[in-house]
Amino acid sequence: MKNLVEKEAAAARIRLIVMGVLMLIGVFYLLFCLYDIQVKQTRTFKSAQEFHSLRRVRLPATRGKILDRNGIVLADNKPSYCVSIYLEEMRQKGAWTNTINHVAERLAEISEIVGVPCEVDKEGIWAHIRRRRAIPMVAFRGLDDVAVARLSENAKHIRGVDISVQAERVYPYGDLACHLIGYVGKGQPDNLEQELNPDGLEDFDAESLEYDFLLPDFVGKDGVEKACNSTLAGVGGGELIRINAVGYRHESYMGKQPVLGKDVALTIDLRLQKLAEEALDGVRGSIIVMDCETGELLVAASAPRYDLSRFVPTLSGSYWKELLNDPMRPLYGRACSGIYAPGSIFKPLVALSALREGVIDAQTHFYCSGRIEIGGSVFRCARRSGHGDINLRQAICGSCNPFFIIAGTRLHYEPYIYQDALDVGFGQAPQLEIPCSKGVLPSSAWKRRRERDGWRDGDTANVSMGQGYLSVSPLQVAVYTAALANGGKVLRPRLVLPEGGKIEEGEVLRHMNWRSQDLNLVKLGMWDVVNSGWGTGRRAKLDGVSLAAKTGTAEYMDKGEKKKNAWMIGFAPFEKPKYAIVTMQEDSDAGGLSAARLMRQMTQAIFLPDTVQANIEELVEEERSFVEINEVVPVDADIDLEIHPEQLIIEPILISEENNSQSTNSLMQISAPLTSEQIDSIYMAPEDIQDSSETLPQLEIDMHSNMPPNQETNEEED
Amino acid sequence: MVLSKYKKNTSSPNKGFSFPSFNWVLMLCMGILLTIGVLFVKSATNMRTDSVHYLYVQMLIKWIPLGIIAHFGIAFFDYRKLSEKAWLLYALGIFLLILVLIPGIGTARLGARRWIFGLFQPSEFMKLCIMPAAALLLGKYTGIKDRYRFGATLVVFAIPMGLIAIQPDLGSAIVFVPVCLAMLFVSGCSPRLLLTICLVGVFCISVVLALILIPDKMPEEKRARIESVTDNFIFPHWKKRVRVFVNPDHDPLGAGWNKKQSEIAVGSGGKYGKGYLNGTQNILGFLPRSVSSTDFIFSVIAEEMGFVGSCVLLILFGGMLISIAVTGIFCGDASGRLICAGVSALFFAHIFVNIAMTIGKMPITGIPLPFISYGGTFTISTMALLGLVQSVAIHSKPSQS
Repeated sequence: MKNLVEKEAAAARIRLIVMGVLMLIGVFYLLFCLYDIQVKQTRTFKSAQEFHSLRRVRLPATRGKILDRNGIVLADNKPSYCVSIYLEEMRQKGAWTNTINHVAERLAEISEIVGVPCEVDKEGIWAHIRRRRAIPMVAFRGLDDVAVARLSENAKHIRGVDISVQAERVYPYGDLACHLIGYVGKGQPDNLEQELNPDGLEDFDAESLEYDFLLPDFVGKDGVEKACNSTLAGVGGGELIRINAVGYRHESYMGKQPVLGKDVALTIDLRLQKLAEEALDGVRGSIIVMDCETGELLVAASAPRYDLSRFVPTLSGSYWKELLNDPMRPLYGRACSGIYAPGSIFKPLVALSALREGVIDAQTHFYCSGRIEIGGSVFRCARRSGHGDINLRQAICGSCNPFFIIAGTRLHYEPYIYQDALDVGFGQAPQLEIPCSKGVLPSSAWKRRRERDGWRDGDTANVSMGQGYLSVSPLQVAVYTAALANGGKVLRPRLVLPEGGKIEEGEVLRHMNWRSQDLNLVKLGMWDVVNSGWGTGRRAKLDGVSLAAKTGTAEYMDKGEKKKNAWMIGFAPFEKPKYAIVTMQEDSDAGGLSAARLMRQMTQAIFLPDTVQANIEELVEEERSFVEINEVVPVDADIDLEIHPEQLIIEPILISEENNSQSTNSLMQISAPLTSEQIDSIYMAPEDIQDSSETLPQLEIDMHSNMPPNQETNEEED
Repeated sequence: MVLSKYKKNTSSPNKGFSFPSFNWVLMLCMGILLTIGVLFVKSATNMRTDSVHYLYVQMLIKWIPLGIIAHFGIAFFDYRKLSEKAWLLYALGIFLLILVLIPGIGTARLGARRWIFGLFQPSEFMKLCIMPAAALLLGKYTGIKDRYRFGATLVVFAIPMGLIAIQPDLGSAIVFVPVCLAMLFVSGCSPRLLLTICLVGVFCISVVLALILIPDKMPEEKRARIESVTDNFIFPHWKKRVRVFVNPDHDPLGAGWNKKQSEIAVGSGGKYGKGYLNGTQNILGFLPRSVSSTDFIFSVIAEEMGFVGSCVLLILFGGMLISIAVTGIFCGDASGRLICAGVSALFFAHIFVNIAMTIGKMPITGIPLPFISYGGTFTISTMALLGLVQSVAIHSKPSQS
């Protein structure tokens, strides 16, 4: 045994010696290679280093354009010449101060040649050295051809200077849709890692692949520029450049072509957006036009706005401060981010919940005395004298507060109204491509958390007329209006068209639990709002457009002062709704005045495009003398939703002859009981109505009956 | 005999005061190499203005003191007693390797999950753990040679290699291969078996290389199809590195850049170099900044110190490797010899692969240079491994022959 151990030990020693020899051979091999490289071939490598310094430069990709739905360019690029300084090429011996002084002198020299003041001072040079020495420092920007030619002629002796062409962002329409388009700013490209590491390597060392010179790139900072940045930005390429002894580009080798950014088309219609913004001139407010079936936003205007063209190539500090300190808050995109109490435009939702739960039906009458007391507080109706005995359709038409307060308190806020409001999108941020506010949809739990107080009837009363804690954004209201118009489909709003350019079908998030007969009744009420002589929104009426709408006037306290926001929601054409329109004006009069004016301008722009350029001015004139109106006061009547548009493009309300004569007299008479036939027809499905239309009384259109005598010309609501 | 003379010089004859019989050559080499390491970590990071500039201070105040503690702690500890706990140590190493794969505990840097809480690399610790275990397995039952034992050894190595490879850190996993081969060789494994293992290895590597390189010559369509299959089991960055190695112009902006610039750095150093802190390739950032103090530190040394400096460095490394082998030769028992064989093979693999990579003779792998490259766990573990060799030198029974 011992012998065996000894023998093995001896064998192991020999093997260890063999190993040692092998390792020595390896070391000698390395020495041989090093001798070859460092002694024999050293000249080659030395010259490679001294005369041909290679540099890796990142080439930014040209950013994609932003277009409107018809292909009109909203954000574009233009070439601009820049002079960059390669600081390391200018490195002087000794302390950095020497280099800074040297660079500053050279810059002054160049400045004289090109005749443009330099963008950086000594401080800036020092900051650049400290923070991003490897990146060329852009010293002059926006040079023209002449200056560039003069520079390349006269600055040959200055080393480390480079002229580069950079794409600069252009916003040709200035402030148009600025909150939607957003703007770009200088920044680290956010997909740099993906670009350097296209294979998605796991063992990826970003810094070791860093470019020596990263040409400045622009990234989206707001709006669609930010939200679609990865699409717009493209993928930067890379270039190897040889810099000769004086620091000039010797030759360049394109390593990787930059991939152009893709264009992004918005759903916005430039013409309508422009008209909406003109309509909002001088006020604070918002207009949204949304396609009822696809959810596309044709218009999402906010006012006031800021000028995008002043954000590029660099945003000046003074303009930014000016915008920040402006009391009108132009930076605030009201269409998507503004939140306000909705006021009466919330009432259709309350009505639909109440109808579904059976708290009210089409004939339910409540008496409006102009005021109502709930839980110790008094709520007043917009019409101080009261509406008298009133049913749902009339209550919508006249925006009667007591009616909805009674309906709402009978129904109870939770879960009915709350759930419907939640389903239709209130209290949650709409899934638009750009960030949106979520608003506030109060609940008893929410109130307990916030106020340490339970939900009271007074709160329900407030919410029933769209006041109280409830606050919503115009975009949420647009989604809600579209849901009313399209039969209860809650759509995802869309601002960006998909690749290929068309949205065929909207993305339906939820179907509202609304019965179609209830919806028809509420729509009739909304029809009356515009088309009846005492409807709160009659000022929005436009011949040739069948609009159904609801006005709202929300009160709020601003520094102890009572102020009002005017709202109007509407959809048109009534028979087959295509567009949902929301207009909103901050710190205004009543919804039936300013918001209705905006609504009228918008519907004209959309539906009567030929008249609109001329009519914009006229509309304002008409508005002032808007006293005399000749309209019918409709009574509860039937409507056939399947009527062909060419038959009834003007006036789809069909009024029975017998009620018509009564309706012209007084308000009290409007609430005359319905015949059983009429009730049946309201609660019948549309196809049934068509079948039974022959049995209905003789119908005719009356456009010229007088307005009711007790109609206040300057009516206030809420 | 020359060998016995050497032995008399290194083992202490004094019985009364038993001053530990260190391998002084090894100790001297380690000391000089560490000094060079600190000096050139400073040189490599000298132009940086951020915290990276002070990496050499970190080496001086943190990693080298900790390494010295580990070195002498292990050196004074009898390696034979350590062998009794070898499996416990091995299990601990494997446990840490599994732990590091769990997100939250293992910190991912640059895509690989290699650090426990961002400060400790279990793959380095494993290098220390595996030596006594493999030595025990191969050395305890001297005389009983069967292929099952060799098979067991392969498994003992394969488990940590697999765990490290999925981090993924293929470079660190592959350095276990020469260690395994060297220990098998010294334990008396028949050359035919070793040859078989090597041939199988070479065959596997050539299949992989063929899968990477042959499709490149094929038409695009066919290539894409093969690529999509091979991507499943070959890391794409390894493909890239192999391609760049074969054809440096393959990716001149990315992987080819490092290779080229490192070669220029070494070559432009010339006979005597550009002088300390004057390596222009490094200063101007042609050498990749993030790895100039770790994987590419040899280029910095070669550029600044020239061929003379490279020679000194290689002589020191050669001396170190030989003195480890000599310690093994004079060791009386099998496990001590095996530990020395394993440690020297590991160091040789690190040194050879790293330097060959910087001069473009091998594909680029993330394997650092022992004692020179900046690294926390790496510095400690390499010093601890030399401590293990010193323990063999101190505690082994003097050989009879």
